Amino acid sequence: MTEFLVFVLFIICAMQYRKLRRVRRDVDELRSENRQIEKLTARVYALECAAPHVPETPTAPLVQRVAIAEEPPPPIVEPQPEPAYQAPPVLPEPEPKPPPPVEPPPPPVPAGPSWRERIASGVASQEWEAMVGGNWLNKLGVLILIIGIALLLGYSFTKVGPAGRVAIALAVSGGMLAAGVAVERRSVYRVFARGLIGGGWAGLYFTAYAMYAVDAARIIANPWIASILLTAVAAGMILHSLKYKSQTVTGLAYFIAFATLVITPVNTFSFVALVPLTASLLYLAHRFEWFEMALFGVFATYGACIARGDSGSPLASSQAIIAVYWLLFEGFTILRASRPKAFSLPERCIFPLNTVGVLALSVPKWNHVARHHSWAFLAACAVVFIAGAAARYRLRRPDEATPLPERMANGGYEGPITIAAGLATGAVWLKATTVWINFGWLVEAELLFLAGRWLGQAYPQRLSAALFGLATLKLAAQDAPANSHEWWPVGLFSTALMYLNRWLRRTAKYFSYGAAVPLLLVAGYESPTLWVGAAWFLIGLALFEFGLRKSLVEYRLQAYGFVVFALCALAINDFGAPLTAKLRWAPVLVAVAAAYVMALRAKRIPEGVEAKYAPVALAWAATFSAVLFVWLAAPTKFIGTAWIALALLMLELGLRGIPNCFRWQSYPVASIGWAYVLVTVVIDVNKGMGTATRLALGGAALLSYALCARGFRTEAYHRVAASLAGTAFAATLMWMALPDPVVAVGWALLGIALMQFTGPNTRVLTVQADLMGAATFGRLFFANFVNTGSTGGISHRLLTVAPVIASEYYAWFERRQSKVGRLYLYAAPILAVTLLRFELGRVLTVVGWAAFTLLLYWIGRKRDDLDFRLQSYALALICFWRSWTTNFYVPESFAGVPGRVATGAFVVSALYIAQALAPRASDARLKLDRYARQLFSVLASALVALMLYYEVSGAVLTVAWGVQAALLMAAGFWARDRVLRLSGLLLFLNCILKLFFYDLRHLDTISRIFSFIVLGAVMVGVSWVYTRFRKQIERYL
Amino acid sequence: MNRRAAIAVAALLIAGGALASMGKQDRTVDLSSAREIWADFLRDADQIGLVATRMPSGEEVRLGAQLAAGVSQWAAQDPNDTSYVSAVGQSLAPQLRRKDIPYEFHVIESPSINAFALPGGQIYVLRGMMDFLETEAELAAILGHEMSHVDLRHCVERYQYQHALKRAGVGVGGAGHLLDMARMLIAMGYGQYQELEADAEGNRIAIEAGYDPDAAETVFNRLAQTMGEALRPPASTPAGEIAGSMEEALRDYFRTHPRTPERVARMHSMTTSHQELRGRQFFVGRANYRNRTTRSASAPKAEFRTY
Ligand SMILES: [Zn+2]
Repeated sequence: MTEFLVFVLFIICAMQYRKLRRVRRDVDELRSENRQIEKLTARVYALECAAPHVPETPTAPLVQRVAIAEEPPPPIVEPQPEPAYQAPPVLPEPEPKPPPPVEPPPPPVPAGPSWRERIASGVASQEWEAMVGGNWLNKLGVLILIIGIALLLGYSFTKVGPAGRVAIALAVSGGMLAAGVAVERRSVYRVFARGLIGGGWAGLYFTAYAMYAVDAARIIANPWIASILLTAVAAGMILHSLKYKSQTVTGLAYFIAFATLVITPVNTFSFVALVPLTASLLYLAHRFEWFEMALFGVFATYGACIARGDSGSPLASSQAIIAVYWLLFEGFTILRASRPKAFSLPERCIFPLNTVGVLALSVPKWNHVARHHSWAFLAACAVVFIAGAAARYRLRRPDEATPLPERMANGGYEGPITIAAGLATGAVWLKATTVWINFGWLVEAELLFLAGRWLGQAYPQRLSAALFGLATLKLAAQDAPANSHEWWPVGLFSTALMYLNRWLRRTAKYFSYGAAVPLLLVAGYESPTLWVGAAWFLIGLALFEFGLRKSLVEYRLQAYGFVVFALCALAINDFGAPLTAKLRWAPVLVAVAAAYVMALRAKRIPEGVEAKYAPVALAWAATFSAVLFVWLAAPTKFIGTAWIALALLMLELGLRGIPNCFRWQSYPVASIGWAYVLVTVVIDVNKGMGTATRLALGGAALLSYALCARGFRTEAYHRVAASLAGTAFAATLMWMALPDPVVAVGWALLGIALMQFTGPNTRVLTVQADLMGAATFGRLFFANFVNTGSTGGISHRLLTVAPVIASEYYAWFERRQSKVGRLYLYAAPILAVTLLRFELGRVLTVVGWAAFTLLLYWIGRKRDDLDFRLQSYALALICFWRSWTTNFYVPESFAGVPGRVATGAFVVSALYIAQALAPRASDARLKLDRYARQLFSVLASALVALMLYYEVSGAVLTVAWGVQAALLMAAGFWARDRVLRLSGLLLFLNCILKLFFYDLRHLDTISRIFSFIVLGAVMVGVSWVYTRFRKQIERYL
Repeated sequence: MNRRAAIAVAALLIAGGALASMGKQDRTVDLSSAREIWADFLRDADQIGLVATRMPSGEEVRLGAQLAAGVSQWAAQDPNDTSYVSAVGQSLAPQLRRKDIPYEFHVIESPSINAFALPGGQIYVLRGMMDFLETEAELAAILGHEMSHVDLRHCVERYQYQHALKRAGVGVGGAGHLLDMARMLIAMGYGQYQELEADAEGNRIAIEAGYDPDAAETVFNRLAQTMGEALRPPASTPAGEIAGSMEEALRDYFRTHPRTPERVARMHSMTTSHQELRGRQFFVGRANYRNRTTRSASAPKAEFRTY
């Protein structure tokens, strides 16, 4: 029978196509075509008759023909429906097409005999032949027959009135039906017969319908009679189809009926007609479990309605009809649900399609006609769906073990309840305004929840949760941002409801999470901006405490969420709070308190991951808030200092274990404090900075040191970083606050102070002390040595550098064991030498240096310290060089004595004294040290000789050197000093050389003679001494 | 013991610091101490060679005469002013140490405000300088400065190596000149200190000759204003302090003369430290200078001031 379906489809398509082209029709064409159709009809008849006479047609060509023959049907078909239920003018149209296709049909006809042949011989070995012959040819035959009838009818319709037309239609339909029934008995013609039966019933139905609905065929005026008639035909059709127990057959019958209704002119009756049709269909579907047909019924019913569009009928009547449709299908599903069988695929689809269908039909209508009452419709629907859900609940006991989608698909109550909930939600949305929408939703949700609880069903509660979610979403997306301040009671109401639900149902944890959201929103939107973070913190605290006491992790988790939000709020709102805001720090203080309490209470969290991380995280929250608090509360200049103070406080708390993690959390806090001070004060440090900045810097230094001291044993970070910061800040403060030359003194003092700490881990302090020492050293060269300031006649240079030198010596003494300590020992004399140079001036400095040389050597001897002695040797050489190069040319004079002589004499005496101090014999390892005595002596004597060279000129120089040599010899003998004696001898030699090589040539006679005489005399004297004291000398030599 | 030493040192530091915080403050922060030490070193090193090649005065005078002949070829002299300047200069000569140098003075036509000295006592004052000066005491200060350069052998030093080599008969082909040039580079490092010395010495001889002790300070102050030089104001940041010091140290190394404000400051501290000058009469000579009449010719009471 499927073939027949295809056939009718063609009919419908063609009709739709025709409707479009109707306008172009004209009567002339109509007539001429009419004639052609007559011809065609005649031919068809002729063919029909001739068919048996062509048995010899080969099989192969047959196939070809069949292929060709297939095409004609659609065009030819067209006329067929026209006569049945349309006015006569319909007829002509098909004519232009039929002619060409008509030609081919003759050849196919021979197929008829071959078919008969096949039947007669009973040979069915070749399947393809059977298919083509038994099936296709049959159809072609019926089709052509119907075309013929249709043409006939079309012709006759033009001649008769409505009654006649109905009569003809009834006759044809009845004939077909009767023929079908008659032929069907013979199994050979069964297929063919069924085609006839189907067509007959369809025709009957159409006719019955047309009797009222089609003007051209109206013979019944009363719609009710028409309806009954239609119902009767439908019933008959169905009853007849039942005989075959074939879903396809019955389905086809129905299809035709539906299709008819789709294409009939619009009026309420066609909708009514659908009712019995659908009802009978569903009954059969249920009766025979023809679920595909039921599914088809849904499509067909709603499809027909949708295809027809809105007829403009009153809302009530159209809704009543639609309600009936819906009820039919709903009844069907409920009926199915009452059976303990699982739903087949078509059954599963019916409920959703029914729902979609009814809504697709109704909602636009409501929107169009009674927009303001749409909500009522939705509400009513919701009620109906609830009823449906209730019925299903009774019929199909929900089995919690089955997965939800499975239950829903199998006709469980979950589907309708979901729809009902959605509809109710929509209704509320449409009816209520502003927060009343939320209220309505909340009530609905709560009802769902309670229903679920009453029935012991989880699904309604989940639905309820979803609704709560929706309400919350609305709150968050619409109400809260609208800033109307009217919504918060509803927000709190929903929170209360959700907490209540959570309490009512232990496992519904999502309710407590959900409850937190409106709470978050209310607190977030309704608190003053600056207080949002604090409010959230407080709520978080409450939730946390509750979660802790009741041992409910979920509440604690919520609390953490609140804390996170609160921190963000603090960072966003409070961080940039305008300076003018009153008590801008107060909310943050509240947050600090809340976070701190939580951090402390967190100790009671039971073992687990949470216990591992939560206390630390909460402490972090407290730390963060505290940092922010300081940022807001402290005066700008003191923020960094206050952070360091906060770090100190945290360290103290951490050391006491309240809580422990504050110990190391104080590191970053201190670090930002340092960074702040560093950036705002140290890097930009300026002598013009005010008292506040100085106080802040000083405070920062002290607090840093305190931090270092408090964490010295345990906190390596504070030990190193805090002490460094303290030192840096203190040094900076000194630079800023002290007069330029005093800065170095301050730094030296700081270095000395830092050096006082000895013991384990103090290396970092010692290093800083050394750094300060180095800084002091350098600083002196910048600000002190050439400083011209003075107090009471004493230069600031002396007042500052001298104590620093003392401090360097102290540092050396303190740290003499270390390598760095020795640096101090060398730094100190360098400073001293420089100080002397600037304090005494370019000329006199050599005097100071000489004295210092002596002092160094004396200490070196006394302490038996090589370093001091080496320094004195170096300084002695410098004195010598300086005296020679500078002092012997200086113009200054002191108390009448030329500067060169005065200073030279001092240096020389110092060197000789040093010589006297030096041991005669030394076993020192260093050669220089071993010959210290010789060094001093030679330097002194050479200096005297040089001085004479510059002070005495000409011949007198030789004499002077001679006298010096003699004196040296004398002193050498007296002091039993070999070096002196040898120096004297050397000088004598020098004199002799000068005498012969210079004086002889350059000096005038008198001078020359004078020098010769004196020198000669001196030498004789010396030689006498040598002879006289030969023995003793030998002893010394 | 150690603790006690620490306390002692700390006390010393505190006392020193406290005392230094009082009294007259000097806010200069620069590297002039390092510069001066370096100059000391360069100069001492330079001295050895200079002492060894020291030129006798006679030869220096001959060299000066040669150089002066060169100068007179490209610059005209003003005989009038020359005789006036000579008179003032000669009155200072007795205060100098090297008695065997015959000083000669020249006023040459050049608009720049300058004066210079050549070896052997050749002193030049430019027309610009003559117009710039206002009193005879100021002229005496300038002359005293230039004459001191000669007296302190600053002028002859730059010719010494060349001359020494020439005398030894090896200075052919400019080798000695090259040597002098090389030495100049070293001498640049301490040239400023020679200037300061010349300032001090020039001031001394002018004062001893009875001229106003403040004249030198006045004239240099005016020079500083004309040249638009000023002392660097104290830096307010540590970085500024260090950068300023470095920059100044570098720039000053290549300066032949110290920055005028610095000279003025030094002169000021020098004269104020001479308490014994208080109450004495000193010659200023404003009208004298205007009329180019020397003090020996006319010295009215009005031209003196009490210090
Ligand atoms: Zn000069």
